[in-house]
Amino acid sequence: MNLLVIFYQFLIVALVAPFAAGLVKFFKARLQGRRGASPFLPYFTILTLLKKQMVISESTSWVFRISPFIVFGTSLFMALVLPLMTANLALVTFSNFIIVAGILILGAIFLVFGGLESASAFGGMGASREMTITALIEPTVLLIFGTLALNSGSTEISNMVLHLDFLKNPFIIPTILALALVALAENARYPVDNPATHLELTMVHEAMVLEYSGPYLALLEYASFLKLTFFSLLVANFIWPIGLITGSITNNFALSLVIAPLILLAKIIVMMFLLALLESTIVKMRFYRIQEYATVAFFLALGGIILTLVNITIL
Amino acid sequence: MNNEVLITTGILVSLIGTFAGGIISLFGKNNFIQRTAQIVTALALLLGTASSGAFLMMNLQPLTIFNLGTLFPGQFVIDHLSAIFFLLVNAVGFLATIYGTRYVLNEAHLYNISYVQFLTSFFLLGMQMVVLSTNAVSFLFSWEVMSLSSFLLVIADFKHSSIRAAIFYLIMTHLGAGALLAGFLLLSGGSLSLNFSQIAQLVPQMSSITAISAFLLFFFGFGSKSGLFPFHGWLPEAHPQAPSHISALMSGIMLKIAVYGFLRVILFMLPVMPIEIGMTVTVIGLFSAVFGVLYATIETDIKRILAFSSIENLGLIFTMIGIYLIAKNLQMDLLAQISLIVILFQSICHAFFKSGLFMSAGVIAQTFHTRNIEKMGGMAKNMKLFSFAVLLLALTAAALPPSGAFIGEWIILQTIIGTLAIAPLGFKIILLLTFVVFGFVAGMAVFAMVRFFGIAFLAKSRTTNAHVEANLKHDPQAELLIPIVILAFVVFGLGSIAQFITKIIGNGILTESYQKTFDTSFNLFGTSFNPSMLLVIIVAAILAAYLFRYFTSNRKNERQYHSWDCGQPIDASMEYTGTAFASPLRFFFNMILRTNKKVESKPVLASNPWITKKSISIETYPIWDQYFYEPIVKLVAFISAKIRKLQSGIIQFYIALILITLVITAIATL
Repeated sequence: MNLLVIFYQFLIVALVAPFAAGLVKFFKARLQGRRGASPFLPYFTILTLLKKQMVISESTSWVFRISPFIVFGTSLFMALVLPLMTANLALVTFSNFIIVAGILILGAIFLVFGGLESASAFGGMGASREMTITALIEPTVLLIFGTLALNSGSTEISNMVLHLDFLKNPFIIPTILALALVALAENARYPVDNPATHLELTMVHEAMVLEYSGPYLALLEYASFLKLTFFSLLVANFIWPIGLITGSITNNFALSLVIAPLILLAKIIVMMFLLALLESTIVKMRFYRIQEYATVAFFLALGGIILTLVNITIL
Repeated sequence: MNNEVLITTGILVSLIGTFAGGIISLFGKNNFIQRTAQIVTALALLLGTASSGAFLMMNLQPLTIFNLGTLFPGQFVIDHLSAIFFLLVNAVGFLATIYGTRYVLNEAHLYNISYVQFLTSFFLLGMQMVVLSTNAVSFLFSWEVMSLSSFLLVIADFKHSSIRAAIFYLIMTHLGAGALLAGFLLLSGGSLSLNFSQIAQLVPQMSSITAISAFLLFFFGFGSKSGLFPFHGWLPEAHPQAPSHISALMSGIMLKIAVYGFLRVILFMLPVMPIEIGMTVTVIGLFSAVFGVLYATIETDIKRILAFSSIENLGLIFTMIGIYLIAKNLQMDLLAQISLIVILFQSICHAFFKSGLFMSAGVIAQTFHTRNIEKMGGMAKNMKLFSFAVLLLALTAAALPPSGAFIGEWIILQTIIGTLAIAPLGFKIILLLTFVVFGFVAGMAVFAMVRFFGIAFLAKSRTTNAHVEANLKHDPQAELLIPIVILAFVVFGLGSIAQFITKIIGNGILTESYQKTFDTSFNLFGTSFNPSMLLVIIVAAILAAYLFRYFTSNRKNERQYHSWDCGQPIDASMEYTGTAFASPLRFFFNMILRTNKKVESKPVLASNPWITKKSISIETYPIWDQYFYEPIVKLVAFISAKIRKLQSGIIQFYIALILITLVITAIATL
């Protein structure tokens, strides 16, 4: 039964993901005074890509072909284990933060391999940049979840969201801020990457998928939509874990199955609006200043964990 | 015949067989004799693997292998700890021997086959004997057999660069061996022939200063052998110069022998150390890890990348040893036991993946006739099995789920978070530091391994001559390929059967109350995690991705074309190079990774300054050379210059010196 509810979350998230990606573009266009495309456009993009003929570069090998599946697979894994609409139901152990951090990197490096396979300077450049960002924010990712684990008394993200109380633990605020910075970097958004351009000066994610086409590109795009969705839901749930289906809701179970997706949708809309607002107000950073960004995120996370430890030791 | 006798005989025969393999190879250079020597060595090692494996599975009490009595003091005994390392030596040694048969033939113009085989057998024999030794004499004797034969193997090609690296190695390893000798002398009160257990009985009566001095001597001895910062300078020089299967043994096994020696001394002889000692070990371990991994990300020689990555791995293992020491001091029993498990588990993983990677580096170097990563690429296209095996090894080296090394990392990080809240303040800081550095090193290790695999295997080959292209057409020869594939699958698979491995390791180490921590799933600090299930879920998710593609699109609908080229034909020279790939990191960590970048532009014609020929060169100069080794060299040179003044060449002066010495000795004795 619990496993079925998890699959329900998986389905809902998979269905909502393209909408989320379309929504942020839509909000951005409106904020910048343009009409903008429909937020449902990504569904059509994916359907079109699935029908298209693939062009495979002669310089590639089998790694190029397995990469989209592993990248998409890791995103599916996340949609399955993270507390996005349900929490603490099944597969809880696998939302352990060390596993989640590892799986995130697994997805990232196969994307990098795909980029390198193109044998052009574009792919290599995107690959090198993506790898740098991933490597630089790795300690921050561990610190953030380590702090949240200390505050919630559980190392599983699925349990963390339920046991964090801002009023009791106000010192996790820098940690949540750091999580937001990490989420922006992981999803190749402003100020780390510009998802809207194909300019070699700025692009990271787009440079790696440049050689992909047709269904493989559809998989990679879908994976990035999923990533955006689960990261924004995760941030939202850490701040306000409302409307999650947990094991304790039994009497109104049927009702919660209907309400939970609606709340999820509301969260997505709010988060995407905030993201669009952020992307319309700040500029992209020069790539060679990423270490400053990573350092800020790191020290925020470090501040969070030190405050937590001080609290545990003294109080 | 009972099991004990069988196992004892098996191990004894394996020792004799390794010895015999070495001797046989001396009889002549013809193919038959060398093959026999190799087969005898390999079979002996296989028998050793099976015997020690059986010993571990049956969870037996320590067994005496043989006792030389008066001829050679002490006896050779296998117990739980030595069995684990004996298994590693034999298993990896077996695969390396098989690999070596073909590798040396392919490089017949470089190596004397008989020379290499003789020394390989004795190198392995030395390592086998180190782990079975039970007193300082046999321990140090076997240690020297191991060190000297590996020294002679480093110079096996008699090239100037190899000899230079080997001399550096020889000096460092003997400084270390000297420290070990001094340490044993201190502990045993001067009688080296005492058994380790007899030494352990002496130790409680010892003053704490003596115990600490002995500990520091051992730490220097074993630490410098395992390439701890700042005594690691020899490692990236010596390991890459040896033939690849020897590099594999040196990096994969010999470094573990140092870990074994350190564990043997800490666990069975020395008393509980003060907390500052544990902190020192931890911090030095962390330093090594950071330095090792940063250099691994920018190095362009593939074997040096792996050597630096070994420094990183050993740094992490020593960090955990430091945590073990602190935990022991603070009587945090669970933490101590878990760190011990992780030390052993990571040692096993590292032994397998690093030797596999070094063997792969040998194959890569034979394919491209260079170790420079900038000349590589395109191996994945036709060398499918080989590239898949190396991918698995690289994923393991990067400690990504669900590989073996990831599980080790998971246990330690989970434990740190679980302990952070209850540890006393000073230890909290150390644990937090360890946690952060583990994260940093994990990220950088992923970078280094992605670069290693991505640049060497993917895209197009950066060398385009007929010979290299012919090499790239097919997988390497079976003797080269099979050991690598076995190592890759074993070490990647270790992640999914980790609970059984930790259970076997734990049998001899964990006290009973903690054994349930590592039952069919890991029960650590409120989580219960089954590593086998992790693999199942990951595979299921990837399968789901495949099914999605299978049912939504036409799999046949594709065509081949060249990469998008902006309308201008592109070739392999325009690919991103290894240097370019690591360039952001070189920029960000400028303070540590000192680089000398020179761009020279010369006008093609003297009359026209605008059309120029440009050349660029980038070299790194390690800061430890600048701030650590060079001052020492200068100091030694300075002192030698002063001492040289004594050697005036006047005979009367020398006689006076002798007289003065005699007088001083007489005064000292009276």
